[in-house]
Amino acid sequence: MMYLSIMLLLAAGASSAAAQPATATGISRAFNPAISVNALFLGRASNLSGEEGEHEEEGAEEHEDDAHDHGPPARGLSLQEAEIRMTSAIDAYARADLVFAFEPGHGFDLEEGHATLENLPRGLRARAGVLKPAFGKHAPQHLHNFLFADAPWIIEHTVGADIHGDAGLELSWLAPLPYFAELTTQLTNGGEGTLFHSPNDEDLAYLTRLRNLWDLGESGTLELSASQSSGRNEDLGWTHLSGVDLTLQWAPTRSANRKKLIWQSELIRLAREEAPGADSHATVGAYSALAWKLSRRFWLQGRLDLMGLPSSDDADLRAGGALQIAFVPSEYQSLRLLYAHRPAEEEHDEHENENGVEDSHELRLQYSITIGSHPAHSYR
Amino acid sequence: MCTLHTKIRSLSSLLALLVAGFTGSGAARAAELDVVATTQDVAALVRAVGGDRVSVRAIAQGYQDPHYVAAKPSYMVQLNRADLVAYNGLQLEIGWLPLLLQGARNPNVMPGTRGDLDLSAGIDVLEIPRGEVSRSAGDVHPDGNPHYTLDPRNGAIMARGIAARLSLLDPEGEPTYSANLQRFEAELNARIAGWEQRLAHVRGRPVACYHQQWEYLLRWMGLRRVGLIEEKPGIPPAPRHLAELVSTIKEQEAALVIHSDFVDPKAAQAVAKKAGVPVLELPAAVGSRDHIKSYFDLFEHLIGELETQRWSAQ
Repeated sequence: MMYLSIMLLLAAGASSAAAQPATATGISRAFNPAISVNALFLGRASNLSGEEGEHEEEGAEEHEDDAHDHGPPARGLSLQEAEIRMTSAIDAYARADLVFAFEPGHGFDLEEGHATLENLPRGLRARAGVLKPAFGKHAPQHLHNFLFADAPWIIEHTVGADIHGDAGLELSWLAPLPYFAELTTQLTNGGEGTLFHSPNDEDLAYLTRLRNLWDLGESGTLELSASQSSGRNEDLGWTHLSGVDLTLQWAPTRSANRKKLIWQSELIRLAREEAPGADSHATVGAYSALAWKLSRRFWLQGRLDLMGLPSSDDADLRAGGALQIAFVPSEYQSLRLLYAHRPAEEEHDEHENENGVEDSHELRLQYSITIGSHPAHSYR
Repeated sequence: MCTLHTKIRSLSSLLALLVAGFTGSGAARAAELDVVATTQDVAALVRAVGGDRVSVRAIAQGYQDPHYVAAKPSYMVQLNRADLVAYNGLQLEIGWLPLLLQGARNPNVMPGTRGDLDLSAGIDVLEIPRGEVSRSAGDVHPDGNPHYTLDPRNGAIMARGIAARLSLLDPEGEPTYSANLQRFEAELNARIAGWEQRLAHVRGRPVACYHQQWEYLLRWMGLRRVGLIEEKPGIPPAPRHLAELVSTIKEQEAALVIHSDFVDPKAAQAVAKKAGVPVLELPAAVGSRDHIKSYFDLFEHLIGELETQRWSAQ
């Protein structure tokens, strides 16, 4: 997929070269892509040390070569991620968006990069390239746009906290209904896939999402959406991810830049076959988060995390949570202080806290900046 | 007992009804063109020129800060069915209109098409930044001050642009659009003459404002701005700046502190109180008060508010 990205860049460059020779080199900059950089710096303090505290980069399938296992350290200061985004029209028919991410221990990678066909009829839109999974509310977000300075517990255990895209195709359709109803399907590489990790390169992963959003007067919206994704796992069995998400937003029209309330919840079920045709092991969890914009610059947020919900094969219902205060002086920088609590993990889960006995208490201080021509974020 | 076949037929009928009801298929369309305007000012002008041949919906409300509009997907649905999107331009809608257009999937209103109408074309734009533009200067508009609808003379320029584009999209309606434009311009010119007469006594008077939103209105009225509550556009003011502004208002004998109805009025009220001058909250767009339904209503209200202020003689 990297080749496609390079070709897209070269195509943009060729267009530029044909245009106004306005620079000392005779090569025009007129058609250069809009470029922006996000950088996130993280300070962490935890009662757990070393890898015990690194519980955030798991995902539906663990893979021994997955560089996502190397997240930021559980304690200390680090660069969490630096992201470079380029956006440009390719030609009269398509637009390209490329997002490269640098993460310590992970290197430089294409997190997302695709061409979008915007001029299709009948409410259709097609994308090809490296696509982030359109699963639920959290997974499609980039790190700097997370609601909290960490990811919900169930997200870490199923989709993955900061998941990169897979090569594939996407087709979405805006249904001709009186409200916003969008059906999205993705067909991506399941072999090297971030979500499923089949050992067979030819395997595919399948994803469908139905997003519905209604206005509640002029100040509020209600979204109720569902997602389903399936692919073969490392043991060649099938892994199925299912989710439902509900988001209520309220921002008074007269003071939308000073007051806002977001209530976002997701329920996710992961069912994994240990071998083809074998019984599935199910993990079911949810989170419910409330974010309240107190004033132009301050947010107060809280989140409840639940694991082991009914129909889950995990032993007991366990609850964790997070509290966060955010100082956002402008759209281009933020400082977020988060406290997160997780109960001790199950002993049977060898990928997680090996002690399996101690609750986790963590503090995070995250500083985020954005420079350059960054496109506005879509409606959350 | 219902069979599966019957259930499927019922469901299909319901879906067909929903789709037909929404798209209007099977029923005569009341208007020839479906127009989405980004602001109420633009919508009012489209309505004045288009008359019954257009159906107009506005995205931003008149009492809403047009810089901060949530790109709600419901607006994408509106744009998806639009024949024309008419907007203020000069990057007033930069934070939300591109997102809405991308989500709308309507090739007919994408930038550069006949359904894309930037009404800033032909406007004598004020405050175009010189030299390098950076965010250290706040939420600066690189193409210049976008609040040009607050000079009524610009209303005529916008109306001409609207009439030309409506005629292009709907050639059969050209006589209607042309007649409506003529009527609108004649009334606007007559009203402008009256408004200028009513405000002749305020020419040259100094005022302070909250945001660089009133520049076009001040220029037309001949008012002189001595300072801004916002030291940098879009950035909350620092106490030191407000203290300096109080001194400036006193030294320059400014008559008023003006702010729009969607900003937090506390800073303007505090400055006005310390400087010993009145603070005046003005509507900045059509729709910002219940009775301001047209472009003429907006200026009637503004002129009415301003002419009744106590202006110190200078």
